[in-house]
Amino acid sequence: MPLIEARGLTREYSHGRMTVPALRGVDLDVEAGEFTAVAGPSGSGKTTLLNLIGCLDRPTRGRLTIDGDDVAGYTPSMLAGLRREKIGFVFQTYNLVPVLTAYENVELPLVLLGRHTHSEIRDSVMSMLAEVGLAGLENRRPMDLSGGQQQRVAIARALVKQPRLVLADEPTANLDSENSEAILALMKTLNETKGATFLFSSHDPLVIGYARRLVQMRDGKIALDERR
Amino acid sequence: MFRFYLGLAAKNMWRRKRRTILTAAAIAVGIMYFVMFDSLLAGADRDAQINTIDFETGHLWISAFEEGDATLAPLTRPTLENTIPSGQAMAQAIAELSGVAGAAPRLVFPASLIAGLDELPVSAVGVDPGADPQVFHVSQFVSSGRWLEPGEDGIVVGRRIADLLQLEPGDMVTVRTQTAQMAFQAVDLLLVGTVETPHPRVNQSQAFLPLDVAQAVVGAPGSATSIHIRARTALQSPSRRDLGDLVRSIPSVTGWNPGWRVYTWHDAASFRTIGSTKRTFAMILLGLVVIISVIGIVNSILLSTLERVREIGMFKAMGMDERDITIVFMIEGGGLGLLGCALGTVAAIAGNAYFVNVGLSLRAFLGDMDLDIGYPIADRMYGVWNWTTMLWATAVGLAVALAASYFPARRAAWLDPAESLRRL
Repeated sequence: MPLIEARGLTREYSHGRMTVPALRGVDLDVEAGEFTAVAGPSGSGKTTLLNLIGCLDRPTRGRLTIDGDDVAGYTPSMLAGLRREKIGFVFQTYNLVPVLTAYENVELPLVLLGRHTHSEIRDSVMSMLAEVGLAGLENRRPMDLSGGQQQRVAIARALVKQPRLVLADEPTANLDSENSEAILALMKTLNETKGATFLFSSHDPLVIGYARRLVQMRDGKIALDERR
Repeated sequence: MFRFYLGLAAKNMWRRKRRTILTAAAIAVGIMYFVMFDSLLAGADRDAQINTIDFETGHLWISAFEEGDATLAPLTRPTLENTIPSGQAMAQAIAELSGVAGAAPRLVFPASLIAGLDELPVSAVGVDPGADPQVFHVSQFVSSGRWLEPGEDGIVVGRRIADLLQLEPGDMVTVRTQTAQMAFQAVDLLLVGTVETPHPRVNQSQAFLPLDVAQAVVGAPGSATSIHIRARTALQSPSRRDLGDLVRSIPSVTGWNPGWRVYTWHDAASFRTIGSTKRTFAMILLGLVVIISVIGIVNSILLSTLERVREIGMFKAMGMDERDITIVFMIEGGGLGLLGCALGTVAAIAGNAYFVNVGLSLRAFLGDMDLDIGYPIADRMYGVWNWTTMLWATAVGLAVALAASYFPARRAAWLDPAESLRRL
């Protein structure tokens, strides 16, 4: 059974009397452990697709199944629970909490899960920070870290709870090419070592080059879906 | 999880130091004012009770006036219907009762005091110079001259009256009034002393003369308009319940008229004013604290949610639900309230220490006027330590902070996560 199963996924936005379709009946299956890039120009529907798969938004029409659960009838609270348990997010602008240290930012998803002891949290966070190359920087706040380091913290935060799925929306868009390559290499390594499924959006050929599967979007539809 | 939220709220408050301090300071000022004014009012209440008992009513008083007129007794001309005919004898009988420390008859009537060309309306009070000090403390506050002696044609007046009429002990004054039979009457008396008491009404409107002289002046020998009683108790201001047994035992004395009535000091007119004034003032101040807190907290939390829209989106993406987000912002609001309450309490303790030890001089506001502002206090208002009020003020401040932060917190909690994450 695919980890993600989307059928006829449609998302329309209303602007006054006008209805703007952002996604037009997308069918997509993503298997567990895949490392998939969603590519396409701006406005092609990449972010909308990731938001729907991440249960941050609801489709206008169509069916979405995450890890075997049809999320159509989920309440906001159930969707929050699904995100908490199974999905990690990496954002273009990192979205770290500025008042928290790197350690505290990474700690947050485990605290929200509420089933780990203090020492378990500490061990998980420290080892995750070490895996993303930030050992020794755990007490720094986001403003004291470079862009690349902040995105590493964001990746550590997404992966620390060992989610089934990691969604990354333009994870390298705010980074230079050197940092972009480092982040992608890190994501790929974590995909291989942790077995987490990665689905990330980008329009950068360098980023797309790292993907083992490419889903090309155009005008709210999948124009190309190829495995490499 | 709650501990994490507490830390997050504390860090966010610290991050916006200036806003936090301003909001907390506004709450603190509100709480400080409420606590200090309540302290002053409670202190004034306490002093007013003591002054009413010591200079106006005693613990109990007996009056032949109808219930509705009782508080107007000093302003009403004594008639044969509204006096206690054998007041002196009745007072002596009451003084014999167990639980009575002293009983003193008084004959109060309106009069004019004439000194040369000057004339001043006063409340003339016929007192038994021997028995009166067992109930009242007027004789302890002689500012010049001396207190009355039985049977002498002498008079003691309040300091303010003496000042207005430019009188000194040794001067002659004329007391003019009407008798119980409606005839005009005047008598010349020697001013033997002046009194300056903590009760402004005594200083500005009362003239004391021996009871037998007063009875002769109004043509009501042996009579009194009231009999005042001091209970044998260690309590400064005994409650109605404390005085209940004594109130019930008084009508058992020989010669009691069922038309007379026993009142406690709580029935004095000034206390009805004090009670309602205090309640109104306290409610206004409490309302002020609530308004300040609500505006400060709503403003602060609303700004915080507007600044942190992306953060809220991220929190939701991490799996926080509406309840979690509401809690995060309510903790922040509660923290602001708590900080404001703590600062307010510290400031209130410091300010109140001044009021308790030094007091607030009414003369500083009113000048040397001895104005009767509804409280029977002549000069200084002193505060009291009222820890219950401080706890209440803190609890109200905190509850208001939490309630006020709820609405902006709920607004933040229901933001659409995808929309929030798109926000720049």
